[in-house]
Amino acid sequence: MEIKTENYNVIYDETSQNIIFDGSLRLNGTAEYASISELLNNVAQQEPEKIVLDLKELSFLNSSGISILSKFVINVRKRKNIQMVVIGAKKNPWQGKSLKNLQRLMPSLKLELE
Amino acid sequence: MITDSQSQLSILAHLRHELRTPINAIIGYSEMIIEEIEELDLNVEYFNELEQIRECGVQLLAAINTFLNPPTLPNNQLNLPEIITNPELKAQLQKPTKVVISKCHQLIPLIETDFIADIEKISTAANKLLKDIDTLLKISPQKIDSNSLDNLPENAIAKTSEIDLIIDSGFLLAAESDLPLKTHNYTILIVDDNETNRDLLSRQVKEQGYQVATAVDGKQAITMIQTGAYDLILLDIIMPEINGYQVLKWIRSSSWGHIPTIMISALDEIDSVVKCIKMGAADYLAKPFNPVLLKARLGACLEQKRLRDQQASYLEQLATANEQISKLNNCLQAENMRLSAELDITQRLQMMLLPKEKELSQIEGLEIAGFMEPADEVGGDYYDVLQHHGRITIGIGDVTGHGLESGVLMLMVQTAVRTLMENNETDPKKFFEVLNRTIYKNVQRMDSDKNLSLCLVDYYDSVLSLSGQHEEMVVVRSGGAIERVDTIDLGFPIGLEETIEDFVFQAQVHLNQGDVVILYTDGITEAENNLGVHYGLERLCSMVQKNWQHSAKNIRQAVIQDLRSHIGVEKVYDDITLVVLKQK
Repeated sequence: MEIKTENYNVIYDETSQNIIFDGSLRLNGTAEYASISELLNNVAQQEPEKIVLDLKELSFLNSSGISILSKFVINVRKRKNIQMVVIGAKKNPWQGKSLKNLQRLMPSLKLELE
Repeated sequence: MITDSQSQLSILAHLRHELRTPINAIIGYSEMIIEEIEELDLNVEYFNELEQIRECGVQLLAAINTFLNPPTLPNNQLNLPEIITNPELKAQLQKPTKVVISKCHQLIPLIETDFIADIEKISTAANKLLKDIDTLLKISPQKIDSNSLDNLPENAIAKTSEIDLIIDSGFLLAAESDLPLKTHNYTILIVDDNETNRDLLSRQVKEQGYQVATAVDGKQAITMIQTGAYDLILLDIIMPEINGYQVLKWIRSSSWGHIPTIMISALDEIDSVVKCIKMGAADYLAKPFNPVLLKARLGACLEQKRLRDQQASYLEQLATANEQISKLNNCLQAENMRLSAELDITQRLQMMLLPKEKELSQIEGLEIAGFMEPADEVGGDYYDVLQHHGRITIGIGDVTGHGLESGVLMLMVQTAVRTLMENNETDPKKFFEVLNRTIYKNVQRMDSDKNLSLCLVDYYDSVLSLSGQHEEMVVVRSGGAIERVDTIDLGFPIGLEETIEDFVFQAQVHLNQGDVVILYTDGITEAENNLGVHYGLERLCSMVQKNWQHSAKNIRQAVIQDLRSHIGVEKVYDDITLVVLKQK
């Protein structure tokens, strides 16, 4: 599963169970985020043991995007047995703050900031 | 005594027409039998006789053209009696005619029974011709019935070069129009008063696979066209009562004007052919009918008609498509109107609850200047300044997404905040917990996926107490020093989770005289220029830093102006909200 565009890519690597985001995501509202939501929900539905959300190369995510990630974390949390890891990078200013909310939504979530 | 040269020419043309009719039959029937024999690959001993009959016909036609179609003399003088009674003419006509009659007599006992009827027709035509030679060429020119001239063209002079030209183009047509036409699908109407011509032409046309109908005169033709469905009309020019011109004129002005009409004429009636083409005839066909030309002209005309019909059908399809497009367009317009009405309502909702300038000016201790500009598609920004029992609360928030739903959510938040204040709720944890539950439950009911950031700033006695998660709050101290207050740890998005009490904390900032506080939404920091570069928090801070000494209103103005110069002509995607506080 993958979504590739000029400005951003979202790729799910099934063997490593990594969901890799890169580029800059500035889509307008839930409607424009629908395909990304669908990809994320498909991953959650498969209930892998572990999901790694790799956001190291995602330089920007707007509030609608953060909301989409939050919904995804809530969805994963409901399924109880999935271990969740979010990898960010300090070079992306938005992550230090916004990724904290994900951890609050799911206290077992492991947040790694490189 | 006819001396007028024009009338003399007309008389000659009439004579040619009368004499050619039986000659055309001789040529036509003999040619048809010859073709059929060739086609069936029959080895018959009488083939030579048939060819002689045809040859005689050709000779007869040549004699008519030589003697009865003289070139115009320089003085325009013709000696009509001399031309008509020319003994050489008579001899050149009688001799081949007699040969034809005798060949027919020879052939009748020999020939296949299928062909006997045609040979008898040739024989009849030859006998009629022999009689005509005697009567017509003997008759005194003055006695020609003047009525019979009415149908003749005004000028019946044939110019050899013009005829050649048209014959050439005819053959060119024959070479090009080797099209796989499904001839049996087409019905051709043949209009000719002469029975022999009708019979000959029908058989030649049928030979090529077409369906054939015939009309014996103009009147019958018009009746048939109105009731039948014909793809092409072969129309003789010279007919009694309603002649070919009149029928053509009627066809062209009727609703059957699209049916191609080919005029039937003698070769030397070239001027009448021109006249017919000007009147809208598709083409002409000369007697005797040359099968190659006949095939080519029918094929070309029907192909043209097929293309025209196709074009008409495409046009019809286009019209239908156009109609559908216009219907869809109307739907789209209605939808656009609905959307535009929705936007209008949402923008008004957004603006109607904003604090009024007068309210703000009455606040003690703080100068407050607010600014809000909803985007084309409203983003659901929220800002408010409320007073209750001397306590001032400034709220700023941003609902995710855009549109009516975001606007409605923002209204609910405003009401809930006011309700809690009126109810004297001062504990931030309790305040936010009730507010969140209220919004969360409504969001669930709305089946919405929206939530919002919200920061509430209480001001009392030079102290700001803030809670709730939103953008950073910027404090520019008097003198220009900047402090940024992170609100991430002060709360949680409203409406996302059922309970958020555990995440709510309070921070406090003491203000001194001249200190400036900036609250804003991401519509400012994420506003893009033509290169997609964000306005950014740094630029906002530096603008306030440069202007801290001005009034709250002037600081607001400076920031908005700088923001607009950054955005330029780019589209504004999000609501822009800015609140400037300044300690008096």
